[in-house]
Amino acid sequence: MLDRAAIPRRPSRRAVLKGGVLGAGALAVGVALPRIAGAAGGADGVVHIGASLPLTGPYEKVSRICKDAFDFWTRTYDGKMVVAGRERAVKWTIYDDENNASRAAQLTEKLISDDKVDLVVGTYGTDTVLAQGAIVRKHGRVFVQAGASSIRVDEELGGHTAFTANGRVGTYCAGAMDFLASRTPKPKKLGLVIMDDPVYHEIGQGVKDKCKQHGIDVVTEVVLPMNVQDLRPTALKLRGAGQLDIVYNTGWDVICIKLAEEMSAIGVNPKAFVGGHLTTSPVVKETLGSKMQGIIGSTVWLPQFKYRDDKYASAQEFAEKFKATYGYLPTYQAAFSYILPYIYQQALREADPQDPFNPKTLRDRLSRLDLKDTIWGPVSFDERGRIRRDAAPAVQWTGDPAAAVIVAPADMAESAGVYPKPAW
Amino acid sequence: MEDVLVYGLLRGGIYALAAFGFSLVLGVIGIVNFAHGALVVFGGLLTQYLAVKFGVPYAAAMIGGALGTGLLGAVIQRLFVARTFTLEPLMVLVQTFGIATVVTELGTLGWGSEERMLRLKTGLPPGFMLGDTFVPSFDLVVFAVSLVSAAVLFVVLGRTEFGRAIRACRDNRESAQLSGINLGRTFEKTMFLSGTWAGLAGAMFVTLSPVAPYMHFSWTVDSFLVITIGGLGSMLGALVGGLVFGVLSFGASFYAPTIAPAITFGVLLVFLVFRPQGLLGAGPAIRK
Amino acid sequence: MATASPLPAPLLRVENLSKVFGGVTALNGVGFDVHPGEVVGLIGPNGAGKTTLFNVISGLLPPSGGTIAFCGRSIGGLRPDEICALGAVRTFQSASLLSGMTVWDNVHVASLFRPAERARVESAAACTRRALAFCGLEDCRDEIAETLSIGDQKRVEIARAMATGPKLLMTDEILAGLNAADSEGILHMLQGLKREGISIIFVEHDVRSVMRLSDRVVVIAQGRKLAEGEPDAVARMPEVISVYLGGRYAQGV
Ligand SMILES: Nc1ncnc2c1ncn2[C@@H]1O[C@H](COP(=O)(O)OP(=O)(O)OP(=O)(O)O)[C@@H](O)[C@H]1O
Ligand SMILES: [Mg+2]
Repeated sequence: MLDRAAIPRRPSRRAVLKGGVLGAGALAVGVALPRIAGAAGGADGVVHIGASLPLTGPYEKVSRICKDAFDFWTRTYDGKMVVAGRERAVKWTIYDDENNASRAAQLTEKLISDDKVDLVVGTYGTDTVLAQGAIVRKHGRVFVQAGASSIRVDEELGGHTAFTANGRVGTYCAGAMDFLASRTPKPKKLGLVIMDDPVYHEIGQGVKDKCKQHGIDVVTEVVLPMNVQDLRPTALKLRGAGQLDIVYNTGWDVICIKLAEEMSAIGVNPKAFVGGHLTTSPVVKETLGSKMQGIIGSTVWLPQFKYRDDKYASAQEFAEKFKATYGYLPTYQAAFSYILPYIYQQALREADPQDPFNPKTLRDRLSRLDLKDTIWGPVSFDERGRIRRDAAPAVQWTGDPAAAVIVAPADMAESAGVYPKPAW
Repeated sequence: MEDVLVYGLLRGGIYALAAFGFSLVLGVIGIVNFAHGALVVFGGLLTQYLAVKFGVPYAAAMIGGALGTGLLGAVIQRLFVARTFTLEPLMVLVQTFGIATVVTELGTLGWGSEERMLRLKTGLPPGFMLGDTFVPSFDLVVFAVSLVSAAVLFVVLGRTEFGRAIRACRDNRESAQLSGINLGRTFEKTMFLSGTWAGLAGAMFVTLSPVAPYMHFSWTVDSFLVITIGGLGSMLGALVGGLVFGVLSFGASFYAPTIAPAITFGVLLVFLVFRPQGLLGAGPAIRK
Repeated sequence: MATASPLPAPLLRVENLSKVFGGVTALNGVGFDVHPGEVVGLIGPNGAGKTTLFNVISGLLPPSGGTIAFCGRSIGGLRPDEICALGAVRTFQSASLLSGMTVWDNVHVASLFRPAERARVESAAACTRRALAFCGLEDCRDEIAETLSIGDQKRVEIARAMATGPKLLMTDEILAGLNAADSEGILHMLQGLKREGISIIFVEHDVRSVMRLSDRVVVIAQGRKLAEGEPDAVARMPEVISVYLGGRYAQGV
């Protein structure tokens, strides 16, 4: 998955200590469950949802968010889900997969075979989701996930096992690139910085495809190791490429900050700088200060998005309620985690009471699902089980102090945007 | 080519600054201090904290950050290393690794795991042209501070009583003690000096690039590379090693970014095989 | 054994001292006194425990048992630099200098770290100059210690010890490996120190030098004191001859 962005990739030593404890016992998300028996299976009026998350390790923080979002969904619906026209109590079993693929596979096997869960939701991270999917597939079941957006999920699990609620990473750049391509004077030269990891290459490929579509030249392409420290050499490379209209950096926050600093230090002034995976974390703004002006980022979800569902009149309201409960504003990971049980709920509402969780009918229902309004935006899946979404919206930081406003796509835009951006 | 050289040298100043203390501690106390990078990061974050939280002017925040880090170094020495440095070297290695972890975790608790940076308004022009290379003014300031502080360290070690004591303990622990030198106190002072210069490196670096607790290990590794190239036990070696390493890593990241770490470590191996004493080392890097 | 004439309180009193290394008992209940201005020769076969005794007295190794009193004060367990500051110093069996530093620095370090009351009397530089002059090292003061000849390295050891302003000097085979001229020079220096009132414990395998320099001789073997007395008397003791002197000296007496 992509979320090196929000979380520094610092392997936690606590993972080693805690892993054993958490892995051993199920961790039920706190929901008051009126008179549920130990047995699961749906017939007794309980919907048993199973999941694993990398609760310890580098994705510790983001897993926390995902888990809170599962909990938030449960609270929102009073711990109940309507399945086949009948309200049932929701029971969660969530294990810690430590971001370890074989552990994720093992735990998924346990969820399906031993715990006999009715539904499986995906974990967070490309490799772990793929490993999970292999087990789900072995059992002929289906699952909904948003923790892996790589095209590999479509290739290996799409169309039969996985339904992916997250857009393809190749489309992340689309909002920003379409926005920039429509500016005058039209940008002609782009410098591309790609982190050396399949997911980032996929994003980079998306940028190149968009450039081809819009007639923009990719004049230089720098591939950086994931543990890159110094971005000055990259800035120098970009300067060597002549006056650039756009610099597109696929990297996460700190990579974007460092690149912006170094470009500014040695006087590389592109007309637009896109931090492909730059987040709206306040730290970014504090660190970059006035250099934030005019920087563009792609984002798959923000509370400002004009989304709504049956419980929340706006994404903003969702965000505020979430913040009131957990003390922080929900990130896009919170939104896409919330949507996983939500999708099941919508798909199963009118399921066959005789066999509501039948994999085959569930697969058909998910394929046919067409939700106009959810907190995550419109949800429907293509033939590879991928959510239909061809562009991530783009934000641009403007004003002083800089605030992120949506500039693309046109129907969501809050502002016309700035191009060229002011010099650093 | 020219710009790669210039930028590499500019970076090298900070690497040298960070490596002085690492080299000193390895030479005098005889330990590979895995917590060294944590000290660099601590110095950067402390400086940033003093400047942002209390509005301390940068020069004062930098000195505060450096001295605070020196103090942390001395405390680490007194509470932990002093009790184990005579043991199995591996145990000390593990111990300093543990200290690095603790310092990092505590830093994360106190300051959070986010990257932080200190932006300065120096009033300097953004930079000037050196031939065809644009040299940012502040980079040059940092470089100058590196050189000056290297000179200060040189004088401290070469000319002062304190410096003589440190060198005496490095050369021969027993003789030094029998000349009336308090070994434990001298080691604490060594760690203080080491921490101060590490903190200074962090204090300078935090104005150029974001710093966060999790970055500590790359500073330790870089310091290690610098003294492997420059030579153990020589401050001049650390300076030259820093500059060479600066150019080397910049060049590698410029010409072959994806394999840059492999290139720098390759050079390390070459040095270990063909010139274990480094460019300017006093002797082979083996413990007496 | 003990002489009849009344002696002042001992400068150093070692009582029942023992040192055990794992299974090896290097010192086993050793005891003797050193009086102010006295030269005590300490002899014994290889592995007898002489160097270990110095290591324990000088604080480099903690004693396993027994007491050491210096100037009436118990020093067992003090740090080496504290013991040095009290005035008990030693040289090493193989010269152990600050190898990368100059002759001047080697001696000057000791001058710099003298205790404050001694530093008030004479400046560090003056103290260093005096020690170098005494040991005839003025000409090589800027040379790096490790480049010196063995003889000069031993002189530096003595100069360094002198610069600390000692009351007691313990020399560990200071003549070993020296040619006749160098040995003679060092013996002269030690005699000079004795005239200045400095006590010396003189460990040496060259028995003639021991007999010449010492007021009293202590013999140890296998970590125990075997004999003690005036040089001539000790040299005639059959047990000393059988354990240590053997052919080395007996015929010469
Ligand atoms: N650090 C040590 N660890 C273990 N054993 C030791 C140590 N130092 C000395 N010994 C042992 O203690 C005994 C006394 O050794 P010491 O060096 O004191 O003898 P010595 O009288 O100085 O001999 P020499 O005349 O050869 O110098 C020897 O058996 C020696 O092996
Ligand atoms: Mg000996």
